[in-house]
Amino acid sequence: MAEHKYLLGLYDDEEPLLDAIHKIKDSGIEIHDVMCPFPVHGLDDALDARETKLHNAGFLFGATGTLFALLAMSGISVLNWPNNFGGKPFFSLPSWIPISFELTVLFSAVGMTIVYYLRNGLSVFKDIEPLEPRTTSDRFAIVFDVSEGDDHDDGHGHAETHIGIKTKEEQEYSEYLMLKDREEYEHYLSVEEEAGFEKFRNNIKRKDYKKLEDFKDQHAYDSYLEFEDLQAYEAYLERQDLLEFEKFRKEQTQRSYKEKSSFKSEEEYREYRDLKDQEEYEIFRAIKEQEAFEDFRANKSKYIAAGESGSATTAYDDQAAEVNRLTNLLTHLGAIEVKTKTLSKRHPSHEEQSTRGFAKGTN
Amino acid sequence: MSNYASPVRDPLITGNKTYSDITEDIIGPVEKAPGLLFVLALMTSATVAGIGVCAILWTIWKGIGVWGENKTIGWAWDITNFVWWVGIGHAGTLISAILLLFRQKWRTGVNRSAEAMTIFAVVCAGIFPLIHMGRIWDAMFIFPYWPNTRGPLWPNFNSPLLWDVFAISTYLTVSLLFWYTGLVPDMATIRDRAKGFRRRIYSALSFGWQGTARQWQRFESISLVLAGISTPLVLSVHSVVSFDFATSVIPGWHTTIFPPYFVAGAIFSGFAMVLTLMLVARKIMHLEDYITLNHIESMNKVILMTGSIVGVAYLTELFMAWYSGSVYEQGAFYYRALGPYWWSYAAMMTCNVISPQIFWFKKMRRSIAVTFIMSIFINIGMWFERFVIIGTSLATDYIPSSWLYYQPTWVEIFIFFGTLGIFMTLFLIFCKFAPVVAVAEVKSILKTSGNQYLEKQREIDRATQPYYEGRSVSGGGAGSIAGAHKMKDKEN
Repeated sequence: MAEHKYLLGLYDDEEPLLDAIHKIKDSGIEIHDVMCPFPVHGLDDALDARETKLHNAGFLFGATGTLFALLAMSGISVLNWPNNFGGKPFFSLPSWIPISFELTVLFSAVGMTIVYYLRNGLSVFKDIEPLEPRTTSDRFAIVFDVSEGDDHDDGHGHAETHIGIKTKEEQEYSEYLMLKDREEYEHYLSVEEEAGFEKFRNNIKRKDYKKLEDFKDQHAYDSYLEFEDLQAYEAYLERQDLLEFEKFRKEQTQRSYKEKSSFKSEEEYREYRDLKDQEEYEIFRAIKEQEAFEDFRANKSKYIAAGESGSATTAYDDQAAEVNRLTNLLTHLGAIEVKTKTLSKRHPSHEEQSTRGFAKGTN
Repeated sequence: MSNYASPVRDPLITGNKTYSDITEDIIGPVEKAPGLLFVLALMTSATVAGIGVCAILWTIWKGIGVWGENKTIGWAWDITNFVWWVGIGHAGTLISAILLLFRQKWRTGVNRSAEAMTIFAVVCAGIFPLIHMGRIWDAMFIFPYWPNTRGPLWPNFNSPLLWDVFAISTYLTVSLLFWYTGLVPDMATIRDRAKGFRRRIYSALSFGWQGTARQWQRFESISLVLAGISTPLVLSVHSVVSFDFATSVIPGWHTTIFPPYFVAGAIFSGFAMVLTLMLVARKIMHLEDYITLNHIESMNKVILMTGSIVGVAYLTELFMAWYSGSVYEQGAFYYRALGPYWWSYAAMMTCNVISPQIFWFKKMRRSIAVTFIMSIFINIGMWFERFVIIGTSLATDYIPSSWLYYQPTWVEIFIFFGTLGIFMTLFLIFCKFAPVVAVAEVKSILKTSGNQYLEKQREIDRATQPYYEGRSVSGGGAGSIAGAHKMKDKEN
């Protein structure tokens, strides 16, 4: 099996951890796993993990126990060796209730525990190499898989998939988006207008357009004041954004998506950046700009050669670059330590050691 | 939201602890080499246990005749000890399971050792049914095994003695599973701090636990379900044990008050035993910050309540004996209080009814010395209760010509103290090799129950609540957060 390399962002408190997970999820980067010394409330929601069905198994085992108890006692007391105990009927259900109840509990507990140990991958013979020993003591870890290779096999023969992406074309498209998103997001994160931008984004979510400082600029605010209601304003914004974006895109060359220095002016770059909020991305992604995509495909070889090396099918090829990017991201999101860990071939990969993925839609 | 620390509550973790402090304080004793005190205690209890084992072997070899039981009093010390031990075991499940369902955070300080106590108590309890039947090599006859090698003979499913077999077996299994499943993450904590041989041992014991999000999710699910099924289980097990007596025809036994009376009594004696063990353990292992006076006070409140229930049950029995008009019932209670075993009845009443009433006073509830002495008294009292029920009722039942007096032989006494030795040996081994407090669970309540967080919340509340006690009513100037909120709202 191939060597697996993992990047861990370590935290010493659960609030920055949850915060970071929310932000990472928003940006679309795939988290491999999260490790904590105790169960953290809100973690499953942050990771969009589907609920476990362990309690259903418990119920089924319990029902089996009840059925088994009643059938066994009936078979013995009615069919096999009916006996007159103090005048009670052969089928004396009331006196069988204690045993039925006990076997229900027994089957439920034993069955569910066995399923629990199996599903959690727990076994007496399992000697794991912990990615970070302090995660069982006082550290919380966000784990990213930065192994080399184009296919992040999860050890069970399933290639990792992005949610909702199925065809090759869509996969290319998402790679294109991820590439833009990640770089731009990181660039955005590293500049100072983050606070205003965050507020703007939050306000979009809260639908609170009331105050001037919440708007991108005076112009937008004035535009708002002209409208009678919020809906019209949102429609206007959408249209404005779209027009601006179209305009922008037509003026740019492909290379401009990568480097700030390729822009004609600082202003244009800021304008370009200002558009890069979640709504616009979604609009952009929703309409699927065929032209830009065709453009990208046409220039892919030039594009890849300009900044990347290796095969053309994945953005993970340059492992060191990815490690760098994730390290910067994690540091910015409050991690107190970022470390990498390579599991040697002697130890099973983290996937095999760990549970299966928790993202919705994966097994 | 769940991290809101209500400042009204008392802190459950004192000493301004951090997560790594918790790990150090609780795992530290496990990693240290055993001290002199531990070795002496272990050797003493192992010796006592050994004597008990010899007495058990003597019984098996020679037969039940070496005991003091006779035709009239067929059950005495053996079943008394059985019920006593099972009752003690119930506190562990109650603390783990029932308090989990009631969301009582204070359970996290004591639940691990209470559950361990349950398992060891049930192990000790299980010895007695096995040896009191005489032919222990035929012990499998009590189970309905298949294929049935005894021809058409099967156990009697209508008999509470068989219900007891299923109940105790289930109780032992489920308690063991619940305890160990909770212990796995803490074993992983020890594993990740250990080296060499110790690491290999704890790696096997921790089952390869990693603490991933998914593992914790399943952990919480199974904890909740096991707690949910353990709750009716603990209530049913001791009810079934009480049925051993209640479904008979003996006056003083045949009464419907037994199930709730026995369950309350079990919780009563179990909590007393937990306190006995915890008061010593917290002192020796320096865990006063995790098993605080608030924990002890909460347990004393439970003891007060269940002790009062037991007291009410005693009075109910006496009342029903009079009210029923049954001469046999009245006779049974007359001889119980004034007959040859009056001294055991007096001990029972003093220890169980009168003495726990001291816990009405807060100062007594929060006093370690009083609690320790009381816990010993209560355990003694509960032993006498079972003896009173079993021994005295049998000694003076229907026909006076068969009334007899029972005295235990040395074999029986050694067996009983031997089980105490077995219990202490197992518990000491547990204290040495496993974390006595549930590390992961205590960490999860640090933010809501740690003293520094409660103090901080108190300060925040003082600053933000305009009508906080002690503040002037006109408070809420521009500087306060509450004032700012109000102004902002007015604008909108």
